[in-house]
Amino acid sequence: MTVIAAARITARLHRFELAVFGVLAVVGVLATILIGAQLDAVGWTATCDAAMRSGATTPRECEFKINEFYGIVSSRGWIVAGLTGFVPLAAALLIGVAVVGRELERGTTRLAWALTPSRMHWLAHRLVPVLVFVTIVGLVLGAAADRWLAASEPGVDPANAFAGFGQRGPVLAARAVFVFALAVAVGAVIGRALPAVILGGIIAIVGLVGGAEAHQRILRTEAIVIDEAALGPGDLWIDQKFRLADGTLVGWEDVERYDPPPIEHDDETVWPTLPQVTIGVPGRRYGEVALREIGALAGGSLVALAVTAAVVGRRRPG
Amino acid sequence: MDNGFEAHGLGKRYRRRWALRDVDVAVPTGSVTALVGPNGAGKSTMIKAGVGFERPTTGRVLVDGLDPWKDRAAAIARVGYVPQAPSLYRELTVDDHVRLAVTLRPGFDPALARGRLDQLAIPLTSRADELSGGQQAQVGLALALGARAPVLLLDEPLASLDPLARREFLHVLVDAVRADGATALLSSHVITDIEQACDRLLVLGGGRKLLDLSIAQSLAEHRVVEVATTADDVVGTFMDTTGESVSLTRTGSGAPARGRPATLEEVVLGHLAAGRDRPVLRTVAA
Repeated sequence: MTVIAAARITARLHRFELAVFGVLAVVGVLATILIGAQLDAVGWTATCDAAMRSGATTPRECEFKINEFYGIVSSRGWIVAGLTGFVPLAAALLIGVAVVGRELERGTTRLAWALTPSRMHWLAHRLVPVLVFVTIVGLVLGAAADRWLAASEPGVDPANAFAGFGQRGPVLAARAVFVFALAVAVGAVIGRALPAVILGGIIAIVGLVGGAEAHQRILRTEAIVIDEAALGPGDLWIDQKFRLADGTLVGWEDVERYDPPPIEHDDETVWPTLPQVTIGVPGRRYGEVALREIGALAGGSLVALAVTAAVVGRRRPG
Repeated sequence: MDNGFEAHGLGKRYRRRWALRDVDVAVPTGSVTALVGPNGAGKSTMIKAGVGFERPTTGRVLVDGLDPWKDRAAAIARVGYVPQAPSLYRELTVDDHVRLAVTLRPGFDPALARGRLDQLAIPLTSRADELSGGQQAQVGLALALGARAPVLLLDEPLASLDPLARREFLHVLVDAVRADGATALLSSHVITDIEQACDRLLVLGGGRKLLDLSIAQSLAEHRVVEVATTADDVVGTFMDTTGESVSLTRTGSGAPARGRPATLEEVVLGHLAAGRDRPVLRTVAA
C-alpha cells in the first residue's frame, strides 16, 4: 500500500515529464507500425535487398519498387529514427536530473529528509518508479527500432545483425538506464536542475562515446577473417585486408609492395588484384555482444546510483 | 530524559567563519524555548544540526538523548522539523503531503495532521502553490505535529507570516506541545509573539550563547536604566526608539534594583548589544 502510494506521489511530481515522454514514446511506436506497414506493402523483399547489396542484376519483381521503398525510407524514416533514438535518452536525462537535483533546488528535500528516518528509503521511493518508466520506454522504443530495421532493411535479421548497434533493442534501454543513473548522480551532486542537465548531458555523451570506443577496441581483438563472398549484411565490418599467396594478410598501406598498381589504367582496370577479405565480427554474435554491452552499462548505472546514494546520505538538503 | 535538546561544546565552521562556537545548551523536556538572535547568529545552524542537516565541526547535539549525525535514523524519528521557508511540493495537494508523510515516516498520524488542517480550514484538495504563506507554514507545522515527535525544531517559521497568521501558528504549536508533552525549540525574530508562547529564552549572538533563562527569570532579573552607575551590573547599552541610550542591568547580584522593569525585547537587545561593539538600535516588532 505504502509502495503504491509512494509511486503515485512520485508520478505526480514528474507528471509533466512522464506525460510528454510517454506520449512521444506512443507516437514513436505508432509511427514505426504505420511507416513499417507502408514499407512492407511496397513488396521490397529480402531477395531484392540482397540483390541490391551484391550489385547483381535486380530481379524483375524488384524493379520499380526500389524508388518507392527508399523514397519512404528517406522521407519518413527520420521520424522513426528520431523518436526511437531521442526519446529514451532525453527522457532519461531530463527526468533523471529532476529526481534529486530539482528537489534540492526547490528545497523540498528539507521537508522530506526531516520526515524520513532513512534517506535511502526516500531515494528508493523517488527513484524506482521513474527508473521503471525509463526502462519501459527504452525497451518499447528499442523494440520499435528493431522493427524499423527489419522493415527498412529486409535482408537483415535484427537478432543477428550489428546494424544500428546501440540504437535499438535492449541495448537502447540499457543506454537509457545508464544516462538516467548518470543524470540522477549529477543532479544529486550539483543540486540544481539546469546546470545538471547540461553537465549530465556532456558526461552522458562522453560516457556513451567512450564506452562505444572501448567496446569497439574489444571487438577488434575478437574479429575474424570473413571472405568477401561470405560477408553478410548483419556482420560488423572492422577492416579490409588483402590475402597474399602464402595466406598472409596485408592492409592498404602495404598492398603496393606486393601488388604494384598498373602504370597504364582506365576505368575498367581492376586494382588491387589480390583477393580481398573483411576483418569483422559475424552477425550471429550480436546477441552475446549486446548482452555484454548491457552488462557493462548496467555496471556503470549501478556505480552512478551508488554515488547518488552516498551523496544523498551525506549532503545538506539544499 | 531531562532535556529534549542539548548542545555540548557545539561549534560549526563554514570555511573560515564560525557560525557557532562552543555553545552549551540544555532545553528541558516539555518546554517551549525561543531561540533568538540577529541574522548570522547561528540559530538556523543549531536547529539544522539538531535535524542532522549540518555536521558539527566541534562538539555535538543530542535530541532526546540521540546524536542525529551518528544515529540519524533513531534521532530523526524523534524530531519534527519545520524549515525556515515552506518546503512544500508545489505539484502536490495538501492531502498528497499527508500521504507523502505516511509513506516516509513510520508511525505518522494522518488523522492528527488532517484534523489540525481541518481546524484551520485549509482545504486538503488545494495544491501547495495555491496556499498563502501562512497556510503553507501551517501545513508544515501539521506535518511536523503528525509525526508525533517528542522534539519539535522550528526554524523561523514565523518570518514570512502576518500578525494574525503568526498568532494562529503559535496557538496551534503551544496547544500541541502542551497536549503531547513535547519539547519545542523555536527560532524567531519576533519577540512580542514568542513572549506569550514560550517559557524559555535562549539568545545567540555572533555564534555564541548570550542568555539562557526562563522567560519569567529573564524578566525578573533585568531592569533598564537611562544612566548607569558603577554600582549597576550593566549587561549592554542600546538605543531606544526615541534615540535615547539606555542600559540593561542585571539584578540579583547584590546590585540595587534601579530603573524600570525590562521588557523581553529589551532583555534581548541588551544581551545582543553586549555581544557587539556598538549599541543596538531598538526595533519595533512587526
